[in-house]
Amino acid sequence: MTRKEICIRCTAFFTGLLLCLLAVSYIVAPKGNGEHSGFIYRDAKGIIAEKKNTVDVVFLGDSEVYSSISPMQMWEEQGFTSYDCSTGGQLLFDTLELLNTALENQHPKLVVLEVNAAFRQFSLGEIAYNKAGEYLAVFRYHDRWKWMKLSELFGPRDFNWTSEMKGFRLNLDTNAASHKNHMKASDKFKDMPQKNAWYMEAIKKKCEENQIQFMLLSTPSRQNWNMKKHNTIAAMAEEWGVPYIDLNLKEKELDVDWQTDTKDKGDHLNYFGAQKVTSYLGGYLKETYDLPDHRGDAEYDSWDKCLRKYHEQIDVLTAKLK
Amino acid sequence: MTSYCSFPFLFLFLPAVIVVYQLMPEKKRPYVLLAASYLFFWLISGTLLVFLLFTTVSIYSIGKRLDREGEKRDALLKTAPRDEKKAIRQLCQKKQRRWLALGIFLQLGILLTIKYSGFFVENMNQLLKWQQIEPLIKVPQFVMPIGISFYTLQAFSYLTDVYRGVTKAEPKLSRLALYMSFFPGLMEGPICRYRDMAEQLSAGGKITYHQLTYGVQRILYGMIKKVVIADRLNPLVQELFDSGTAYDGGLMFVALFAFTCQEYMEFSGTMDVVIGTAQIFGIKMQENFERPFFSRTISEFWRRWHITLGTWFKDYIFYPVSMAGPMKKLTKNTRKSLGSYYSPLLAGTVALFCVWSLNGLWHGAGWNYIGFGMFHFMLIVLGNFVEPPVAWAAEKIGLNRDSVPWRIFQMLRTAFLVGMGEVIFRASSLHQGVQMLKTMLTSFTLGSVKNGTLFTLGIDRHDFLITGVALFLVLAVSILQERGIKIRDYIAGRKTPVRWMIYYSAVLFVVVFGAYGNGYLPIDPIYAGF
Repeated sequence: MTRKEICIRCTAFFTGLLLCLLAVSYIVAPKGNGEHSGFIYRDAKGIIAEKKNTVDVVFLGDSEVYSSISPMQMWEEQGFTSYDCSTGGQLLFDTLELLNTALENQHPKLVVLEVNAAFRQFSLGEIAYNKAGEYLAVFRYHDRWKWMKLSELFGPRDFNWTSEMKGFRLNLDTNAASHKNHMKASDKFKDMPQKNAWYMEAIKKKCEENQIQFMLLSTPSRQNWNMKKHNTIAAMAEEWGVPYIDLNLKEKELDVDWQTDTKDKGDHLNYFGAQKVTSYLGGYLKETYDLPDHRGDAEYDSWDKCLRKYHEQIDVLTAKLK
Repeated sequence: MTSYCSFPFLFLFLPAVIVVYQLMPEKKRPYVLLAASYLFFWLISGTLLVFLLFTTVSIYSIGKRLDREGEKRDALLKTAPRDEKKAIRQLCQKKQRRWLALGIFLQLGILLTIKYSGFFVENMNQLLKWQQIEPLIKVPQFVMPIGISFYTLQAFSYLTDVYRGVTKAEPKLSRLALYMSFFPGLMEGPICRYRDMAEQLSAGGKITYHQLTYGVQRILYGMIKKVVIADRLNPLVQELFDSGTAYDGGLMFVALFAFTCQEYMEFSGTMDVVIGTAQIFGIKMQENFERPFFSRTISEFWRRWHITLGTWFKDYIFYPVSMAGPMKKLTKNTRKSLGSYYSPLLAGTVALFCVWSLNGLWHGAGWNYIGFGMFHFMLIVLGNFVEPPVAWAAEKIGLNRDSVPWRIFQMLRTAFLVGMGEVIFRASSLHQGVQMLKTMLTSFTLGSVKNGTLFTLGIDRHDFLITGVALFLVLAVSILQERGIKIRDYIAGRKTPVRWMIYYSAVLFVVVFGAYGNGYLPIDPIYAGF
C-alpha cells in the first residue's frame, strides 16, 4: 500500500468514525433541560432560559457561590437581577464555558468571579476531554442510554427550564466550624498553576470583549481560603486593574458566626451565612456598579413569582428545623 | 495521565509519539521512544525519575563489570595449565558473585526501603506493643515511583542473565535505558527479558499499516475490557469490600465474582492496550494472559495468569532454590522412603513456599497479600500431593478425566478457588478477607438479590445488563481463541465495509457504554499500585 493510499484510507476511516460519533451524539444529547433530562450543570445553565438580556449580574464559581449568594434575596433587597452560574468542584475551563453559555442570551452589566476555583488543579487531559464533550455530546451524555426514550428523538426540543432560585442552593443544615483563624497574616503567595492563570485571563478577556464589567470575589470559607491565596488574587487584581473583594477579611462587618452559619464545618456557608453575605454583597454591588432596580416592572414579573416560591421553600425548611 | 486507558494517553500522548517516531530517521527512532518513556514516567512520578535513572546506570555499570570478569576468565583459561583452570574459574566466579550481589543489593535495597520498610516497622512496633514496650521507630512513608516493582524485576533478571552468561552485557547505555523504561510496559508490565527486547527496541523500524491497524484493534479490545467492564464494576466492588461483612453471604459471593471479573478485565485489558501500543512500533511484548479461567487446576491457572511474573519466579527463585545443594540432598535422601513422585515434590514444595511468599509480598506490603500467596501455595501443594490418589480413584471408578463435564467442573472449581484468593487479596486486611469468605460459606442466601438490594450498591440493573453483554462478548472471543481461531486475522480478511463496521461498532461500544466522564470517579489501575 502506498503512502497516498494509506492517507486516503485513514482520512476516510476517521471521517466515517466522526460521522458515527456525530450521529450517536445527536441521539444521546438531551433534547431539553427539564427535571429528568439528564442535562449537565442544569442549575448553572438554567440561565439559558432566562428572558433575553434580563440578567444584570452573573456570578461564576464553584460551590462557594451557590452556597453563599442568593440572587432571589438580592432581587428582594436591591431590585437587580442576578444568576449563580456555579457548579460543585468547578474547574476553570467549566467556568469559561458557563460564561460563554450565559453570554449566549444575556448581556450582563457585571460578571463576578468567585476565585476559590482559581487554585483547583486540572490536567490537559481534562481540558481535552471537556472540549471533546463540547463538540461531541456523546462524550458527556453517553450514559443517557440508561433512561432515554425513543420518543425523545422525534419530540420537540425544550430548553425552557430555569432555576427558580437562580442557581442558589438552599441549605439550612448547621455543622459548626473550628475556632481557627484561617486568615492569619502572611506575605507569602500561593502559586497558581499556569493553566489556571491562562483561564483566569481568558475569562477576564471575554468580559472585556463584551464590554462587561468584571470583578473578583472571595466568599467566606474557613476550610478553603487563606492569606496566601488572598495575596495571589489581590496581586492579580491589581495588575489587571479590576476590583477584588475578599469577604474573609470582612467577617466582622458581615457578622459571620462560624458556629451557626456553616453547613459543613466552615467549608461552605448555610442559608443563614448566605443571608449575611448576600445582604452585604448586594448593597456593595448596587452602590458600586449603579445597578438598576427592576421591581415593579412587568417585564420582571417572573422574578416576583420565583421570590414567592423562594420564601415558601424557606418556610418549609424552617418548619422542619423546628 | 493516570492509566493507559486514559484520555490523555490515548488521544494526546500516544498519537504525538507515533507522529514524531514516524517522522524521525530510523537511527533516531529508538531515542524518540526513550525520550517518550522518560516523559511518560516524569508526567506520572515527576522527579522520582531519579530512581529509575539510578537503577539503569547501576545495572549498566555492574553488567559491564560482570562481562569484563567473564572475559578476563576466558583469557586466563586460554593460557592457564589444566590443573589451574578450576581455581581460576572459582576465583572469577567469586568476583562475579560479589558484583552480582552488589547489583541485587542495590535494586532490592531501594525496593525494600520504599515499598516494605513501612510494613516491617509497623509490625515491629506491634510486636513491641505486645511486649508492652513503647514503639520507638516512626513508620516511614515513601512515595513510590511508578512501576518500581516491575522494573526492579527486569533489572534483577538482566543482571542475573549477564552473570549466568545467558545474555551479553549491553555496551550502549541508551539501549539498556530503553529496555528499563519502555513506556507501554512501565506501569504494569509485562516483565520482559532483555534478550527478548533488546533487538526489537533498537530496530527503529517504520510503523506499517499492518502494525498500526493490528495495534489499534488490540487497544480497542483492551478498552472494552477495562472501560466497559472493569470500571463499571468498580463502585459495586468498592461498596461490598468497604462494608465487609455487613451484607449477607449471597452478596459476599457477588463480591468474589465481581472483583475477580474486575481484576481480570482490568489487568488483561490494560495488557491488551500495552501490547497493542508496543505492536504499533513493531515491538512484540510477551503475552501476560492466556485465558486463565479455562484452567483446570491452580497450577495451570498460574501458567496462564500474569505469565511473565510466573516465569520470572520460576527462573530466578523456583529453579535456584529447588536445584540448590541441600534440596538435591533432600531429594536423594528421601527417594527411597517417599518414592520417585513424592521425593522431588518435597524440594519443589520448599521452593514453592519461597515463590509464593515472595509472590504475595510482591503484590503489596500487607498480611492479606501474604495470606493470598499462602492460599495459592497450599492449593498448589495440595493439588500436587493428591494427584496420584485422585488419578487412581478416577481410574477405579471409570471416570474419564478428559470428558467435557469433568473439565467444566474443574474449570468452575478452579475459578471459584481463585475467586476466594482474590477476596483475601482485595480485602483491607487478612482478617476481613477471611471473615468475608466465612460469611459467604456459612450464611449464603439470595435475599439481597431477590429484594433488589444488589441493584442499589453502586451499579443498577442497566449496568449489570451491559456488563453481562460485554462479559459474554469477551467469553465468546476467548472460546474462539482457545480453539485456535485468530480473530484479528479473520477480521482483516473481510472486505473493507465489513471490517470498518466492526471497528466502528467497537469504538461506539466503548464510547457509549464505557464507565467514564460525569458521574464516574477516575480509577487508578490496580496493578500500577504494586
